Amino acid sequence: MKISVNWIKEFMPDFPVSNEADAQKISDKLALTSTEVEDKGYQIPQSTGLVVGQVLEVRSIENSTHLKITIVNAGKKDYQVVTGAPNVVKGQLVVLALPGAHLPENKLIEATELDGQISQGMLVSLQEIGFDDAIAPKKHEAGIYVFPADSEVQPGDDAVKVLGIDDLMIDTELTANRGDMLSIRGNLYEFSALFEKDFKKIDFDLQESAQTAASQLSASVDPTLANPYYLRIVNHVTVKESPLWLQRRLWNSGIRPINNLVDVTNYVMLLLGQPMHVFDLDQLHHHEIRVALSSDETITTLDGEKRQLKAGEDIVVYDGQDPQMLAGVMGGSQSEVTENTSNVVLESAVFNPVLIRKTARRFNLHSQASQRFERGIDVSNSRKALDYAAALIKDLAGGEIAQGVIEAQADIAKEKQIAISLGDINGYLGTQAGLDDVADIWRRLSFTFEQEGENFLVMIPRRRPDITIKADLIEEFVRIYGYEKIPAHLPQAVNQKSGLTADQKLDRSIREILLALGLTQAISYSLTTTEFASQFTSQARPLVKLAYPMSQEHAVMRQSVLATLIQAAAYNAARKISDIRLFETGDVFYGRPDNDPDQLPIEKQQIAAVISGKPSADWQHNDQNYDFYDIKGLLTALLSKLNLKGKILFKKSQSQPEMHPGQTADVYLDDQYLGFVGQINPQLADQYKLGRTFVFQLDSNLVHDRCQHGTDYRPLDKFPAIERDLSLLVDKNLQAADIVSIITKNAGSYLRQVNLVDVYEGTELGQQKKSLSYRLQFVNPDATLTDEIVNAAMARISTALFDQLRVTTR
Amino acid sequence: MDIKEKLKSLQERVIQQLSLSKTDDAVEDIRVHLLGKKGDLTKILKGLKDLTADQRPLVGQLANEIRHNLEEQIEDKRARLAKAILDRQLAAEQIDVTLPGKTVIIGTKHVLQQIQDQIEDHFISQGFQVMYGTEVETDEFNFARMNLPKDHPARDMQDTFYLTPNILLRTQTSAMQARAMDKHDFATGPLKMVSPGKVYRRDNDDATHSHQFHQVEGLVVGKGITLADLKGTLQALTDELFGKGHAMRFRQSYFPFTEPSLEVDISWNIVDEHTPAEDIQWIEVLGAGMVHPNVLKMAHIDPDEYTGFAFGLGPDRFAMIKYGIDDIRNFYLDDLRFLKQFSQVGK
Repeated sequence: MKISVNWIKEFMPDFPVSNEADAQKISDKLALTSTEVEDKGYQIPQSTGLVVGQVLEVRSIENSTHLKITIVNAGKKDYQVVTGAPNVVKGQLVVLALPGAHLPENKLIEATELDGQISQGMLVSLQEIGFDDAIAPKKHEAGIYVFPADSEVQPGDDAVKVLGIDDLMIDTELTANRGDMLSIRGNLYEFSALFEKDFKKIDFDLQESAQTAASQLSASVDPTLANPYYLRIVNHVTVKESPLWLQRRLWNSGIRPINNLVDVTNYVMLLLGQPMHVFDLDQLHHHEIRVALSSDETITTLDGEKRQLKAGEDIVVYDGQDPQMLAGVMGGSQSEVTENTSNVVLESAVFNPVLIRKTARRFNLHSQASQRFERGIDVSNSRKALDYAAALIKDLAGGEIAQGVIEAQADIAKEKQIAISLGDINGYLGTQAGLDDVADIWRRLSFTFEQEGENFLVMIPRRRPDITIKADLIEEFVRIYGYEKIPAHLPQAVNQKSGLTADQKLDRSIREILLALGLTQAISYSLTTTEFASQFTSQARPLVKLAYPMSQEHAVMRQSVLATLIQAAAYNAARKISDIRLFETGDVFYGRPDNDPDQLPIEKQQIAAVISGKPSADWQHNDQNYDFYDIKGLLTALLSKLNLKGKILFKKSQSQPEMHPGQTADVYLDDQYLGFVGQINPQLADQYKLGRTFVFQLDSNLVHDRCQHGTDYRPLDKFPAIERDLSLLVDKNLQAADIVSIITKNAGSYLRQVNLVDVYEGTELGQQKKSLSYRLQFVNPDATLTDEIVNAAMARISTALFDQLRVTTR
Repeated sequence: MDIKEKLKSLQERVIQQLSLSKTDDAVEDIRVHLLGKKGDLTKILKGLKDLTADQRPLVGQLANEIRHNLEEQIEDKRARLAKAILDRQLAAEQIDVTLPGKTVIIGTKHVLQQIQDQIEDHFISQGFQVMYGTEVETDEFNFARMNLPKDHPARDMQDTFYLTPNILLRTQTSAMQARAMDKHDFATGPLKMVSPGKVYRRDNDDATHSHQFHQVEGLVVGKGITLADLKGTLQALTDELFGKGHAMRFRQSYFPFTEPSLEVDISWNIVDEHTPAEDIQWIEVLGAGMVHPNVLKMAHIDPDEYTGFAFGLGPDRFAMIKYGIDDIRNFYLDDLRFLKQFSQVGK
């Protein structure tokens, strides 16, 4: 809320702010104890050299269609000023920018000559001296500003002062609980607690006429929608411009002055925090106010918009059956106060905050009023606000206040009482506060209380609906007491087991292994497009979609980590990074097969990696592009470190459209599908403007299930190993895995390792042939191995390879 | 010439020859001509038998001395030749040791992961558990159990991505608070946990806003837990993350799930008790407070017997402050030039 320092000082003369440095200090204090301050300074940019001038004479200039000469008295001196203002009339009090005046946007006023006439300054509009269009009264839109007739200003007065331009404003950014600070009155209580300064209460005199309100209007209210609900009637008013003092308060608070009636309701709202509405009694056809829930109907609001209501969701003020206004949000155009209005109804009520919030959101009509209703209003204050507004209207618009208040609903809750002890406070805060500290703070907050020894019974004023339990009261205490007085220590130690769980350790290990393998960790967006979300998945499953996405780019939760990691690779490729090596571990999301909208979707973890391009160029010319065997090597290294229970198998796969059909393998752990490895389809890579790109992706949950934590130690071999090489001439299409499988099956129990040491293809072998060389290592853990045993094993292997695969040894 | 003179002259000649020889082969040649079956020394030694019995031992001794001497000289010459060869070879193998080594690629942990791991380790050392929740949550655990019933105005603070009316992307890892409280056996002592992870809000992505970011939630619930415990815990955390010497202060704030609620600032500069207040550069680093009694009640914990504190901090924001990163999107675009800058050694 924009708090006018001058307005505060009207009630609290000792408020310690007289310049911007003071305002900064107050803001710092507020930020520590109450609420953040968004801004401090001036609502209107600062000018100098502005005075109040009285137009003594207006003359036209020969041959000029729009310029006029005026003589303006500015107190001690008269000035000749040439103006183009169409609304300038003799006798007016206007704003004169004297020669030498500085206006906003570095505009300097100088004496000049216009159409051959000397002009000593300029008559200005409010916009020309920095008023925003949203706060400048519409009355003077077409020309210069003219002071209201009954303004207490004299020619020669400093216009910066009388217009309130020099009023310092402190703009607080309120948290949702502090609705009480949305009024000058609430801030007076707050400042009084913080700075220990007294303030004057609002005092006024209310005189009613003989004519009763009840004879002119009836009202009924659903108490779940509004409580209290008060109406007053003021007869025979004169609608006109408000006096300057009132307009000044409004425009500095960011509200445009409209007319004396509307301005009074806004003024009272700003001062007391009670939103009010004024409307034209004579425009009602039935004179029967009824507050009820909406039906399926339309209503035309003050701004001229025709709005479609939702049955049962908006609070509507009806006249008989005619919907008149959106209660608490915006008035209706039919009953709007106009220049011709004579008899008005004043409404002061507290509407159901939940419904107000919904309505304001649905129509995007967040107003000063709706904001206050949403945050809670002092129900004990609504009646006083109504009376004060009526008295002000009588002052400013004349007329008669009809006798009596129409109380359609006035079931005012009693003040809440909270019992709290010194022990409660110190036990919660870890402080050593004394009884005097506590009592003093209740007094500063203007909370009345009873004290019995260490026990307090505190009465919570209804302007603070946010305080309902002991903890709320402790917060009130400590923010005034000072958070800097809270000691700092660690919670008392209790012997408890802590540490990462086995699963959490494994997650870290997986990341550490991948980092050691030269892959850099990525974290990408989980939300992506509908198209990308289901890429790189092994089966079609329902998507997890946002109900109301903000953009199509981030509308659906990914079903695979690669779906978004691949975009990170593309991002790097587009920036000419030639060596892309990334991994990501993260969650993926599938819709439930049963589509139950109240149950969580399925959330799984995946591990994915992508490499693209080639190793960073170095002078050793190791600049071959990455290929399938690079990614498979990385995956194999990861899997071997993880020591999964079972046998890892790579099976040629052609099932995924995103992958290269000739360079992709599904990865199995025994017969459990674990993921895949391979080259992404070059067509897809092209779409991402990626070169040849290689990836793997694993189901992390399965890895966790099958990981054998720890190490099975095996004593070192005591007897020497024997190595034999086996060179094979095989069909080009034969899969190495089949050969290795036959070797292992036939080698007997002493085979320890089979390593492929060479692959050769050459014309001398024949077009459809390749040569594979394996090195086999045999070890007998219990005795020295003999050549005879190994020779026999090699013979068995050769025979089996020939018999089963027609493979010959070279 | 008598045999002694012959021996002496032979010795001189061989020494002369050795000094002139330049290869191992030449030395071998000399050795064969001297000591071989038909070698010169062998021949002389054969002549010993013709000497008289009293001369024989004297000459024999001299012959042996000369033989030993020459054998030594030959070995010595060979060693010198070998060393010369080695020296030449080593000289020939000189390289430019200032050329770069062969490239070995080591990956870099994501900077947010580094911060998360550091926070986890810090709290584990203080007896906390680490709990990860799911990123998709129910409205109940994300909001209702956090004292944010439907239509609470504070829900505007956390604009939410809903999937269905009751299922959403979590806006805070606080969603794990209620799950942890439900599970914990308070007979074993207080609940102390941190919960890190991704969270989501309806925000337009720009330099300081992201629809996805990270959060670490911390929660301690037990008997006699106070606001002073929170202050000490947070001071220890900021000491760990930013180093010692940074002042910390609490500011009044509002969260529906804590009472009192606080924003926590630390000083960007190192300060002590003599630093003038206006010289302290405060930056907001996290939100915290005492667990709201309603949150405890909903977990069937008696707020008259148990109290607790909670805090939530953003690794994204921490990293931005710590390293002066000016655009939050950098964390999720995964530009390798960005990621690789955060070396993991030390702090």
